[in-house]
Amino acid sequence: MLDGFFAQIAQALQYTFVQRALLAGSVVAFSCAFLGVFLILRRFSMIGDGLAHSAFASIGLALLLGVYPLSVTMPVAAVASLLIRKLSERAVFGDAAVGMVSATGMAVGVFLASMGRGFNVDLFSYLFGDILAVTSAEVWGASLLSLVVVLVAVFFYHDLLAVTFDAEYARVVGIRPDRVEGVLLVLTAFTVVLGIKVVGTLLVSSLIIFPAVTALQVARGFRSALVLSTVAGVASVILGIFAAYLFDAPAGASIVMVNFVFFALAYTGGRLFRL
Amino acid sequence: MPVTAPQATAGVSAKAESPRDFRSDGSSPLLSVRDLTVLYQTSIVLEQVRFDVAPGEYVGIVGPNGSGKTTLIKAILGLVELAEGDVRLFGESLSGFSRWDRVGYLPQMTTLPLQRFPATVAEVVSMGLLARKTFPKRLSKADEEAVDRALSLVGVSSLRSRFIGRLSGGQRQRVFLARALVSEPELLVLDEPVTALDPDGREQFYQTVERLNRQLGTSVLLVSHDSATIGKYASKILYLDRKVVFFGAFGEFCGSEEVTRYLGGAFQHLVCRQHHHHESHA
Repeated sequence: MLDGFFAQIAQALQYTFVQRALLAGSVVAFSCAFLGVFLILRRFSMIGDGLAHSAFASIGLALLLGVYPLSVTMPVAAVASLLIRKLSERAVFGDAAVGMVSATGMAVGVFLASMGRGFNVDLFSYLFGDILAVTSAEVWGASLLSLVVVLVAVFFYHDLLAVTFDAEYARVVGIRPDRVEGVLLVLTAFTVVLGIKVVGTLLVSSLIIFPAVTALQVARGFRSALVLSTVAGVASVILGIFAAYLFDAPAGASIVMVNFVFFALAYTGGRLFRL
Repeated sequence: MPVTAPQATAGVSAKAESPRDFRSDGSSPLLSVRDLTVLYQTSIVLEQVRFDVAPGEYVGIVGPNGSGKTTLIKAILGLVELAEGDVRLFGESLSGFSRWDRVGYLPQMTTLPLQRFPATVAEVVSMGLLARKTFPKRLSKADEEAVDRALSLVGVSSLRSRFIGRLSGGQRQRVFLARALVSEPELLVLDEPVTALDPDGREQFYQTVERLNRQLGTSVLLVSHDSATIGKYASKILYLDRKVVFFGAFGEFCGSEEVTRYLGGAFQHLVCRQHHHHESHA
């Protein structure tokens, strides 16, 4: 039985679209999982949902105008991330700001969808993801973004940790939390947009939340939390894609289910071994 | 030389003094606050506050709830906008001041949700070294040793590898004190540091700070609602009630009839008794 399983995996790996899906999915999952640790600890875990929903509106607009969706979605999501931050700083609580931007984005997307009746099927693929249809350009884009995330992590690790831990104290030691958070949110916006292709608008926040909370169950330090989160994120995408191939199931849903299993294992392990 | 507030309030007269004639020995103040006014929306939180902290001084700030004590600390640290006035640290205006490693800050007992935060004690303490780092920030072997020294100084070396979220309130506050001390600051700013500690924990904490002040000459600016503590440990007292009601040495404070009239004899007696008792045992 195990031989048959590996034979099917080996067969799947020969398809270019599977290779592309694995590569794009892994790098997007890496970025989501890495950024997720900071966002979860800053109590901004639902920002992925908010950004994905606001991106949904811009996808609707792009499809209506007949332009490449990511070219519109990227800047819209970046603006939405900064809007959420401004709203949460000055007008409303952070979760309410995410909810407002999220609902508005979804409403605008649906409104635009109803105006252009011909593209509803395309819009559906953005709701639930279509990782097996990922293009080479998207693979390159996701890889480049992951590289930027790694560079930010390497050069600003201490700033990111200090701001995440206590933004006010970070200011006292000369760090500008507004700048650090701005970079973090814009990177999150870009990552979420690429994540939409992997698991869809409705599930992309799971790539941010699950690996990070899984890592936090067992991590022995901040660095180990980042490493474990990215490992869990990438592994969930790889196993999820294989599961989708084997069971002929949607890839996005499979990835999220693998993530849940990882979390359950980490939670149980953490309690059993009192980590 | 009497050192009182520049503004007259309810019987405590005050005479404005220039920063330079504040110290009889002529040394420059580490901290100089001049005519500081802070607004929250349209209401005045601090008004025309003026005082100095000289090297080696231990200044206790007391005042009723809502008197602006924490706002004053935040204004000194550049965390709130000043409507008027000037704050100078080590002779430099806040806008141009960059040597934050010379200032150690211990905020109020934190309400941050730290339970699941995966940072170790060593990682938290090393944050206090970031002020002296330039891009790209890296921690060296010497920094690791500085972290060890700071932890040892406050008696929590054994907690080095523990998660910050799994410590008791007292242990956590000592770790934050180590973070404030790790850069070997010349001025230590403490804002209600012991609110959630038990009496023994408070005593130990204040004795550690007193040791730093007496043995290393670290200047201390302590905000506390516990006036007995201020009386016991501080060398000067600043009574704040949006304005500076009184600022000066204990001898002046305890002998002032104007202070008695404004603050009431009971308060003055409590503070002064603690001060005299502690001085006689020191």
